[in-house]
Amino acid sequence: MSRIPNRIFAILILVLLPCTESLFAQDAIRVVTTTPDLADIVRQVGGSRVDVTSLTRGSEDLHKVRPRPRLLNTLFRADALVQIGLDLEHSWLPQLLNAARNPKIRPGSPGFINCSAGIEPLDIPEAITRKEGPDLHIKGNPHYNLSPIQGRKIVTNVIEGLCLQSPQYCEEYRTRGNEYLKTLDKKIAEWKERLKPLKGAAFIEYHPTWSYFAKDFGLLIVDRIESKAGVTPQAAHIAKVVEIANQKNVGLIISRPANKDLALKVASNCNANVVVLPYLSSTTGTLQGYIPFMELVVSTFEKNLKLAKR
Amino acid sequence: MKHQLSIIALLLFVTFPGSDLSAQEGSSRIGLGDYGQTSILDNRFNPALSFIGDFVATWSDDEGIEAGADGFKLRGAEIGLFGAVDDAYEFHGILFFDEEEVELEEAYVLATDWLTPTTHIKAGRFNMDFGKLSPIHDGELPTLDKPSVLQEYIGGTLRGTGAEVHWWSPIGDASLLRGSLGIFQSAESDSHVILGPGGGHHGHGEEEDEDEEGPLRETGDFAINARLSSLFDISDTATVQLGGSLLTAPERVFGVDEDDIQNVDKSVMGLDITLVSTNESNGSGYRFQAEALINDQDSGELDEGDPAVEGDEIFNITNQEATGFYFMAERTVDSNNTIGLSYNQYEHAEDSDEESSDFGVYYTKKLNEFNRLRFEIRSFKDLALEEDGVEELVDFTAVSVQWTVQLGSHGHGLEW
Repeated sequence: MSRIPNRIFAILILVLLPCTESLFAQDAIRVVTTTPDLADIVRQVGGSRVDVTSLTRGSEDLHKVRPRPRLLNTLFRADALVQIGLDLEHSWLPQLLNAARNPKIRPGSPGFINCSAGIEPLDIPEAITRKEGPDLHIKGNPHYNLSPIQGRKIVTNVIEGLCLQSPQYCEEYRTRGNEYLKTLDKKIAEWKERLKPLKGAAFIEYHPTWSYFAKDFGLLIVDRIESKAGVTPQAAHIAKVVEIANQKNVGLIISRPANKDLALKVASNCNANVVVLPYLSSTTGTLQGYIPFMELVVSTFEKNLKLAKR
Repeated sequence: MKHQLSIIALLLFVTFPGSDLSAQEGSSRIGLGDYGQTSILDNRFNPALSFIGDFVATWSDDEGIEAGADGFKLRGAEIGLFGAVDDAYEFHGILFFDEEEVELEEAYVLATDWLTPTTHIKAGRFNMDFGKLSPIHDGELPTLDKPSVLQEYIGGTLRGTGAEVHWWSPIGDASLLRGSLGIFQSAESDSHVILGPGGGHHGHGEEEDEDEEGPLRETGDFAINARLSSLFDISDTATVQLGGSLLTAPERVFGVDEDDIQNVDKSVMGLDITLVSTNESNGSGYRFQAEALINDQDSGELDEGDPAVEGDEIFNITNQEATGFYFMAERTVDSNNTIGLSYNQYEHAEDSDEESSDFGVYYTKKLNEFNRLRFEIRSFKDLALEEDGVEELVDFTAVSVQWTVQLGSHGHGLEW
């Protein structure tokens, strides 16, 4: 009996063996994130194993996102959802989750990845009443993504979340995640070094946004233009902010794009510079990626606090 | 005496409010209140609560029936209760109070896992899914009242006791199709209108109070409603919705006597289009919305004929088809300030030769998420029942101020 057919069979197996992985490989898992920061981190950790979509572009006020078909369809098809939490997305995400009725991403399921797990929230209100502001965040300040140190926690939460989602690739996620953490750690050390001379420098913000960042780098938020969360300040409050800015010689006001006019009004009376800074990275343009975004944030503070010191 | 002192001491110990608290304060024990239910009044599994209060002040230059709307009015206060019964059922209840009555507006159960994941069943008493503005509660409207054309044809809001199946399906990445089908005991009109036909023009208010006994219901006598709509994002900021709604409400009444049963049916068809665009960085945007309705209804009237002739009575049924529409355009300058205009034109449901219209402009100031002021000026050209009991075509203008406050739970869901 000829051995040729057996040899051809063996060669075919050898040739096709490398293809078996692709034959049996699953499609990339569909991960939906609420913000571009989270999308970038999921891409860094998940690599080609994940197909990531951010529900927002980074330019939105996360209280003003309008639930619409594209968002609903994206959540309906998702295998995993990654959120900031601490009620940052509370005005739209719960309603969309309820309508999408996707059991894979329901809170409590393995596909629901809450990045605020393990974060120690700042600015937890002492009194839980709307008198403290209609936009009061009762679980604490949700802008921990602006702290690169808390950003480490986001990365570890994403690693754990993806491991639960697809345990077979867990080692891959850990390896990539740890590589990313090393890069982030190097950047944190560099950023700390750069902002070290500015320790104790004071600035004013519009809305409670920069608490985590200020804590990381030893900066001081002396006042907020918004009198209470979600309340447009009256003239008396603006006058008080101006007085404090003058007393403490504050030279920098950080504002969001939508509140620039009021920030300029304060600045015009206290010789401070107004800098408009987004609080999220972007899906397009130069602000793409968590580390490049934080680099821009650090550079902006470094440059403007130095200017303010002169 | 000794026993009395002991009893007083015991009572003081038991009733002293600090005794229980001080025993737990400073204790290393994990407080039971944090981890377990310790009281039948524990509030953690109670339903979410909401409250809406709606105050209106209106002045009009009409000397007829609209003058009755002048002055200050608590249009209503709504208390809502919402909660999960278990992982597959939700309960929603809304109670309405005004200065004179308490009404159970809605009480229904949502079953979410009986059919497909994107299908749910709604059963109980609730606002029927018909058109864009009809199912919305008055306190959440973009204008002071429901559009006049909705008031004229369906009484503002259609409410009934029955069941509806809701379903949606994604189409591509940025569009979806959504449908609903309902069956109800009857289609009732209900809204708490300040101005417009539902507030008393054309005699609607009086008709609703009549509650005559009719023949026993038969299969097929139920009211049925259906809605199909598609929503599609035309850009990152704008969404278009096209919808169609249908209501059929058959009714059987006694004709000349209890052996003469006649069908007096009503059907309404509606088409709607909405374009919404929002700048999500500052909340500004615009909205255009229009609905057109065709109302087809039978009216029955007993013609008693010649009383001297036995059997001369005839029950006449006439059919009227009437059409009408409204459109509105809104500009949201920022998240707190909105200006808008709306226009209604409609043939009267019971006499399509008569036509009414109204035009209004409004400004809505959101003091914050929970506190809203609205100023509206609306000019009506309408048939109104004047003091002498005769309907006349009149022009009048009404100025209104509305103050709406909201407490507690609310959501910003997808606009179906």
